Amino acid sequence: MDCETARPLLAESLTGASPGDALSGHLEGCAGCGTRLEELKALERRLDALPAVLPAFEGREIGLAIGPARRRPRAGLAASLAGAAAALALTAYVFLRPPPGTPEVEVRVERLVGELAGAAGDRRDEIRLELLNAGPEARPALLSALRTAPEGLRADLEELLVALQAAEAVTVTATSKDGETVRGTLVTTAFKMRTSFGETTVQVAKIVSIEFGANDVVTTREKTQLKGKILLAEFKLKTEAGDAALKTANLKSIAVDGALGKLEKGKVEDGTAKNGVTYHVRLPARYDAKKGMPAILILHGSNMNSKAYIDTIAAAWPRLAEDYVLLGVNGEKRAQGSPDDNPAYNYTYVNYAGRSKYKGYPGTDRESPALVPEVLAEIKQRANLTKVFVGGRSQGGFLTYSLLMNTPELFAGAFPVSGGVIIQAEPAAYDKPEIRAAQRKVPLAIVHGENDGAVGFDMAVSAHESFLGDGFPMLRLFAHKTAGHAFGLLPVEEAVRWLEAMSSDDPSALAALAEQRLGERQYRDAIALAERARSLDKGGKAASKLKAVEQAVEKEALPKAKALEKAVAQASDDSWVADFAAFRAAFEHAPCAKAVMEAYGKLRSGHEKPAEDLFYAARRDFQGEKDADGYAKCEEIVRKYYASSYYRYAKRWLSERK
Amino acid sequence: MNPALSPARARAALEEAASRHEREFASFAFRMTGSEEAARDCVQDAFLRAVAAVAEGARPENPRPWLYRLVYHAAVDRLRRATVEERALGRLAAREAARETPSGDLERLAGALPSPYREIVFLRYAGDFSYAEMESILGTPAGTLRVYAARALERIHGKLKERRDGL
Repeated sequence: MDCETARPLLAESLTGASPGDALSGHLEGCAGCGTRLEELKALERRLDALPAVLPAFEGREIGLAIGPARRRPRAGLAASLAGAAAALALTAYVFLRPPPGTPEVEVRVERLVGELAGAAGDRRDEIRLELLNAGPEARPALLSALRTAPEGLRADLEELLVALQAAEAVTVTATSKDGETVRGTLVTTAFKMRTSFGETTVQVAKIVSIEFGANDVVTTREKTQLKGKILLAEFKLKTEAGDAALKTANLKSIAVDGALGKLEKGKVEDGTAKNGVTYHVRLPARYDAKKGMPAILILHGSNMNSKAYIDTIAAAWPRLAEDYVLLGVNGEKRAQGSPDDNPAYNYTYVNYAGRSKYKGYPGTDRESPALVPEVLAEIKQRANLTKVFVGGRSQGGFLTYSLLMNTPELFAGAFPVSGGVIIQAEPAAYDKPEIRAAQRKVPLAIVHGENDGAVGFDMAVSAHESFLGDGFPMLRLFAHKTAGHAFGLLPVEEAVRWLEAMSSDDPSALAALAEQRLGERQYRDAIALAERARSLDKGGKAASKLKAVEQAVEKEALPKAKALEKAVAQASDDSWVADFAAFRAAFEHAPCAKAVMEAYGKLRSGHEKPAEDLFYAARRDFQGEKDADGYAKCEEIVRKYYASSYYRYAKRWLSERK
Repeated sequence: MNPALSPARARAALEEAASRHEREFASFAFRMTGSEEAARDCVQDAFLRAVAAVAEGARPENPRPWLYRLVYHAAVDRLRRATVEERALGRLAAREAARETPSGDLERLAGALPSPYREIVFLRYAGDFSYAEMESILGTPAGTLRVYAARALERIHGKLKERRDGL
C-alpha cells in the first residue's frame, strides 16, 4: 500500500469507517503516515475536551417552558427596562431606549460593511460614522466581518476596529445645563463637527472635553481647540443605570475622564487648567478611580502656594491625607519676585459680586471665585471625587466664604480658617430663594485661633453671628484658645471630621450622631442631623431613633420657646435679647421654635430700617470725629431697635468705647 | 423511558431530562445557529414538540438523544428559514463566541465546518454520543457518519497544519 492509498484511511481507522489492520503493514515502514496518525489521535483527544455546555450557557437557566407555550420575556429587554426605570428616576433629561439587541446590531453591521464596500466620498464617511456609533456590540461583528472582508475593505475595517477599541476604555462625564451629571462609557464614539475649515469627524477617545454653546468647543489631547457646531442630536452613553441618550441641546459639557493624564497616588501632582490657573492634586494610596473618594480643596494664604498646604495637611493630619484626595488651587496672581521653583500666588476676590445682589465692576467676574470652580471642574476630569469640602486659610479663608456663597452646589462643606467674610459674601447679600436654599445645605465650620494677630478672632465671631443670624442650620465655630495665625496648630482635622459627619449620606450614621450630639446638648447639630437623616431615610430604618431625638429636643426647647414668645410679644427693651440669641443658636430649627422665630422676624422687620439709618448716621459721626453723637445713636439702636441686625454691632461699639 | 409509563409520569420524566440537559441542548443549538436567542428558541421549540409527542404516547427509550434530535431539527428548520445573511452572521458569532472557550481554537475550527461535519464533531466529541445514537439524532446511517467523521477530522487537521506551516 502506498501513502496515497493509506492517507484517507488513517482518519477512517480512528472513526471505524475502515478497519485499521489494512494499514498496519504500511505504517510499519512509513514514518510520515505514522506521524500523521499520531497527530489525528491527538486531535481526537483534544476534541474530546470540547465541553458539552458552552460557557455562555453554563449555570444559566434556559428557562424552558414545558406545557402550554408561554412567552418568556427577553432577558435583555427586561434588564434594559429596569435600567430605564432607574435612570428615569435619576434624571429627567435622559431618555432611555432598550439597548440594540445583539442580532440586530450584527445584521446592521453586516449591512453597513456591505454598503461601505461600494460607497465613496461623503457616503463612505457617513457609513463609517454610523459604524463608529453602533455601540460596543458592533465590535465583535465588525471583527468577524474583517475576517471575510475583501482586500480593499480591510484597511478601513481595521481602522474602525482600532477606533472602537480605543473608545471602549473611555469613560466620560456629561454635565447638563442644569448642572446634573451622568457618567458612562461610550456608545457614541465619534461625531461630525462643522468648523470654519469645513466638516471634520472627531473621535471622542482623542479629545479632552466638549463645551456646548453658541459655538461648541472641542479641546483635543494636544490642547488644540476646535470651534464650531457639533452635528449630533444625541450623545449616547452606557451608564450603570442603563443606556442613556443625552440631548446635546441640553448639555453644557462632556469631559473625558483621565484625558489630562494619569495621577499618581501618594504624590503631589501639578497641573495647569485651561484658564491658566495652576493646581495640585494628591491622591491617597486607597484611592480607587471606580469608586471615587471625597476631596478637600485647600486654598492658600497670601503670597503662598497651595502645594505647601497640601504638604502641611499630609504632615500635620496624616489621617486626612489617607481619607481625602487633597486638591490645591493657586491664586491667578503670581507674587512678584517669588522663585520659580516655589512660586507664590494671591487670589482676587474683594470686588467679586457673583450671585449676590451687588453689581460687580466690569472684569471682576473673572476673579478667583469664578476661576476656582473652573479648575475644580477640570480636576474632576482627572479624579473621581465623590464630594468636595472647600477650606482655606487667611486669604484662602476669605475666598472660601465667597465660594461657599456663590457656588454652594459644588461643595459638601466649607471650612474657612483664620479668615473673614467680605460684604458680598455675607448671607444678607443674597436674596434669591434658590441660592439661599443651596447655601443652607452646606455645613460651615469656622476655624480660628483666639490669639490670631493677623486676622482677628473677632472676624470669626462676627462671621459666626452673621451666619447664625441668617439661619444657617449647620454651623459651628472651631476656636482654639491659644493658637494664633499658624495653620498647622488649628483644629482643622476636627472641623473636617465634623463636616464629614454632617454631610454623611448614611441615615443610620446621621441618626446615631444626632443622638450623640443631643447627649452633648449640641441641639443645633442634633436637629440638623436628624433633619438630614430623615430626608435620606427612605426605608424608615432610623425612624424610631429620629423620633426620640426630635421629642427630646422638643421637650428641652418648648418651655423656652413659650417664655420667649411672651417676651417678644411684650418687648419694650432688650432685656430678653441675650436669652433669645442663645435659644436661637440652639433651637432655631426645632418645630416648636417656629412661632417665636416668626414673632421675632416681625419685630425685626419693624426695627431694621430705622436701625440702619441710625447705624449709617453713627458711622458718619465717627468718621467726622463726632464720637459722642455716634455713641448716642448706638445707644438709641440698643434702646429702641434691639431686634434689628444692627443691634449687635451697636452693642459691640458701645462695649469698646474708650 | 418505560413504555408503560402513564402520561403524567412520562411527562415528569421528560421534564427531568429536559432540565438536566437543557444547557447542553442550548449549546448544541448555538453551535449550529450561532445565536443565543436562536439557540434558546430552538430548545424551546424542541421541548414543545417533545411534550406534544409524549402526550400522544411517545415513550422514547433514551430521552437525551431523542431530545437532541428534536433540537437538531429545530435548528435545521431555523437555518433553512434564515436568510443567507443571517446564516453567515450566525457562523461569525459562533466563531467569535468560541474565542472565549478554553478549547476555543478547535471550537472555532469545528464550527466553521460545513454541515453535517460540524454537527457530527460536536455530537461525537462534545456530546459523547455513539455512532448508533448519532444515527438516531441525525437520521444518517452510522456507517456514513463514521466516514463523515473521518473527513471532519482530516479537515480540522488540515487547517491546523496549514497554520503551523506558517500560513
